[in-house]
Amino acid sequence: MVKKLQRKLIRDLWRMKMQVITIALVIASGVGALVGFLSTQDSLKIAQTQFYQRFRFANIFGELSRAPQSIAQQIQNLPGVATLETRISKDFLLHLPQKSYTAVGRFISIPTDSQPRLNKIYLRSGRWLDPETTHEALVSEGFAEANGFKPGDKIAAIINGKYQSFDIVGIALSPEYIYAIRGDNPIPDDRQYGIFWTSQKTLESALNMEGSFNSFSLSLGYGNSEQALIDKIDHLLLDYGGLGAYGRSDQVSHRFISDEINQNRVMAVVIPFIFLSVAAFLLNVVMSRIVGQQRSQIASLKAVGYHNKSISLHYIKFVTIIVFLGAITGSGLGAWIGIKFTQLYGDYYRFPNINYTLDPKIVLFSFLISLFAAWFAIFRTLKNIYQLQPAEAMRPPNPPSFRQKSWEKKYITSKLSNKSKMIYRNLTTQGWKTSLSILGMASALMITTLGMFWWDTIDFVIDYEFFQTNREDALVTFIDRQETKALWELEQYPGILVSEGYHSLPVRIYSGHKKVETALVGYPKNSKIRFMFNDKHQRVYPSGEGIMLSHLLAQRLKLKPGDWVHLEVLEGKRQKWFLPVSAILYQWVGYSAYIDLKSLQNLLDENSIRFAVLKVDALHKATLQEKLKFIPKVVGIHFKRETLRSFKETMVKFILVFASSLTIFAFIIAFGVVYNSIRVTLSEREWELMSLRVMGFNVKQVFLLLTYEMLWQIVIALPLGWGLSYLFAKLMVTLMHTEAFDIPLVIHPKTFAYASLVIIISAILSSYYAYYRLKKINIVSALKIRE
Amino acid sequence: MDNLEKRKKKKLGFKALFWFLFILSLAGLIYWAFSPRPILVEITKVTQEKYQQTLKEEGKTRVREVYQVTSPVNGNLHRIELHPGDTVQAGDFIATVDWPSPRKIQSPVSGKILRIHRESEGPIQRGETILEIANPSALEVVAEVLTENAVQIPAEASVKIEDWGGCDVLTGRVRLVEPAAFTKISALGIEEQRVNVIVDITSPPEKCVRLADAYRVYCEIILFESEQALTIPTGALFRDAKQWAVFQVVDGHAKKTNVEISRRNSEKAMIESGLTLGDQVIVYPSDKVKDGSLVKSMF
Repeated sequence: MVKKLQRKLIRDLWRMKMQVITIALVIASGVGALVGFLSTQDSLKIAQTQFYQRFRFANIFGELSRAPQSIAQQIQNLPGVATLETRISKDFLLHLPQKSYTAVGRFISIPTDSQPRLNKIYLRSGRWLDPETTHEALVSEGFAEANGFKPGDKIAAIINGKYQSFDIVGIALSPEYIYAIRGDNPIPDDRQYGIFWTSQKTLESALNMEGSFNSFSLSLGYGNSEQALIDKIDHLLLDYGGLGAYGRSDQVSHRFISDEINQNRVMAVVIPFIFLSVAAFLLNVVMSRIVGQQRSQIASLKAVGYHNKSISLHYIKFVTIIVFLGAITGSGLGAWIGIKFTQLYGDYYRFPNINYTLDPKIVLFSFLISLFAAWFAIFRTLKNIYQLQPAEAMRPPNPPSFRQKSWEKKYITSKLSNKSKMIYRNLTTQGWKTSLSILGMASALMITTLGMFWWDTIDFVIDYEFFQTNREDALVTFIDRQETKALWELEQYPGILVSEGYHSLPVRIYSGHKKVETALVGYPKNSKIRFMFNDKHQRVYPSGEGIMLSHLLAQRLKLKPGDWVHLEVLEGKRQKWFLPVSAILYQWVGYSAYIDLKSLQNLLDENSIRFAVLKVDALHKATLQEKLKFIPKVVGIHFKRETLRSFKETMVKFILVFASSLTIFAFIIAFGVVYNSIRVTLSEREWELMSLRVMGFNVKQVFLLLTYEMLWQIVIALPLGWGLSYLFAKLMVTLMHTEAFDIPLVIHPKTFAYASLVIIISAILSSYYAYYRLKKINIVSALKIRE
Repeated sequence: MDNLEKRKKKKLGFKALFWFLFILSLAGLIYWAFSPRPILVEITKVTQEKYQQTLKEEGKTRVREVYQVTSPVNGNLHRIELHPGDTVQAGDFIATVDWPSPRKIQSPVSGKILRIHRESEGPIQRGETILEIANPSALEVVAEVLTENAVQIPAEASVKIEDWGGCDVLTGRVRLVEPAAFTKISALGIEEQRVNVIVDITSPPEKCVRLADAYRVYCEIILFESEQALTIPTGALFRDAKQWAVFQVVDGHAKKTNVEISRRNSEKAMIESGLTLGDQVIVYPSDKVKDGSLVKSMF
């Protein structure tokens, strides 16, 4: 007996091969998305954790002006300090004669006879420093690769106004600089910023700091409070120009990578989950309809003597095979995506190695979800069929009753032709089926939009950041505060059309018990090159001593215009100010504070600027670049084109790779939903449609009937889909909001149109197939079934 | 025509209308979705206004004629009772040196004591400066100007003197560009050749009564001036191959227009040809703006 069921199984699978394939693909897409993104996430997290653990990433860090080693002993003696590592750290301008840009190197001292006890260095190539020689250095891999340095090369830094040559003996990585950025600029530029590890002796003599240190890191003993220790350290270092100790969460590299991991978590979990849910939902709907359509077959089987159990088992096998096929394909696809994505991360984050790991639990989880969705559908449908008397079940189901309400009769059906009445009746009597079908298509549209809207958002972000607010062609940073006349000097250079001077200071802002270290940027009152906008996209002008905060900062400190805050300058005279908040600005990244330049200069009692923004004459750009490189007091030259390119190649590439894979999955699911919806309808209504044929309708007319029904479903599904798209996109963007990023929701109407087009094209393609099948159906055999 | 036919016709008409409206709204929706959205840009008009090409330099005030009073002999100087700021008349006795007997030194001019170099009693050498006398209100301004810029300064160029601490902007006139330059390290650390440019203060003395010797001022030397020049903000310019161009706004669209500029400074550029008064141009056009793009003012 069972063997015959087995044959039915195989025969059914073959007969419905198109449906089997499309459903399996839909499952594969859902599973693939979940497996791919989640496994990438895991790989990244593991790489980070392992790097931190093996290379003893410290817990607390701090910088100060300088202190003798005896103070180090005092810090070590504080309760909670497990290991303390002191060092000298300073940024120097690098001399890169072959390059058109300037670069800055952070020089950090390390022991020559062993690894430092904390923040150990991973040597990628080359050798460790020689204790007997000075002026050797290990260079960060990012910088070395970007500039083509290898062990054996020399590089010069400008120390105390003189060129000092260093021998590069090794290429290295450190857990402190997995993400190497300088200051507040979130876009890494490996070409212009590198880390150099050199011997203590070298830095001591270069900076006259024998027996002192200006930077430290420590690891926390088990069970100790980080904040309490930080407070004690700050108190200790008050007299030594301590800038404030901070934990990992404020360490630049860690903060960015953690933010990114958290953001990715959302992308890796929420979105694939949505996809998988849609896939499971579709699975559920289609399976129940397929089984429902085999009602008479099941009843016949029962009548012949098969038990409920064997029949159920048959359908379970049927569904499991499909789900299995889908899950295998999906896992394979997901693993492939995961490997590619992990590789991408490897190029971007400087880990010693980042291995792809696939936790089998993920595969199992997605497999089980799909399976349960399918089983649930089957059991429900089967239960309904089993409840019927076999004889009744063997008969085709009664046509659904078409009872019209009086208003329906008066306003709608009386106005319709016979054909339209048929369509109307089909759509309304099986309300559930129609609604589910519509919902399915709307969901398909929704996930397509979720994959595609990223391009719009990135477009907006780039436009806002590079062309609406910061409109300069180049940014020139000075080595220290410069007088305003430095700006006039700069203006004389051929190739500079417009120049504007700005100031920038590191400050700490206090609000209640919260404090944030950030930059206070001085903007000229009627700035021509840089604009500031609030969240209504109105221009904001600096006013008096009022500070303007980016909305992320305002949120973090819970401030609004009219509040007053304490600021502490973290350099120079360490002034303390009490200033009002005058406006909140909209910024998608970073949290700086802004103030009127003149007022800042008054507060500082100096007529100084820190950087200049320029509009450059494209014809003379190359000459200008060369000239700017050789100005001693200029420490950074950034051309917008390069920054934009770097931005597009790093952060943007990620999002677009992610969005592209989502979009492809969405296309597959969308087509699967539409195709199956049509295909199942065709099977279910075979008898009806063939009756129409017998009555005299030709194939084309029957086809049109079906098509109009589908058209109506689409007409309702589209606006529903648009609404869902907006809602879910908003949800996604909100979940991805971190302390440092607030990506806005921007969906161009074009995207809605394209997503709708995907559904419409899927429908058109599916209807071609439906027409083809309609033609093929043997009228006689189709009508025979109803005996 | 009987009822049935009439009804049929009505139904047909209704249906046709319905589908027509449906297609129309669909087409409209598609058109709206795909129609280009205007790019937000900053737009200003070509204006006719005063254009000035200026040179901004830091300067120091200097009293025109300084009289250094030196010791005539090697002897013993008596304590100087005068202080900077004291008024003296020509002929007043201002210092006494012993050798062999007390010699009284008289002031050569009327004016104020500018600086006291030797206050205390003690031995003094012949030629050593004791004090300086000058008329502090006879001030001039000295600005150190790059030689490349100095050659562009027209004779008797007007100068605006500002940021000296007082409320008013003072006026001046370039009296002389010294014939010899010297080497200096600039603010940004570059070695340069600079030459002193002497500026007479032409504002009435009441306005600058608080200014004294060696005070810092900021000079803006006017190299060129045109009263009714056709100007646009320099931020609107960009290069089109080797030529200058701007994006004009015509009927809500950007139009790339080549222009010729006769002069430009950090703020404005003087148009020689290519634009007329009242034309609208885009300032700091983004990468998205191309010839023909739909644009809209962001304000």
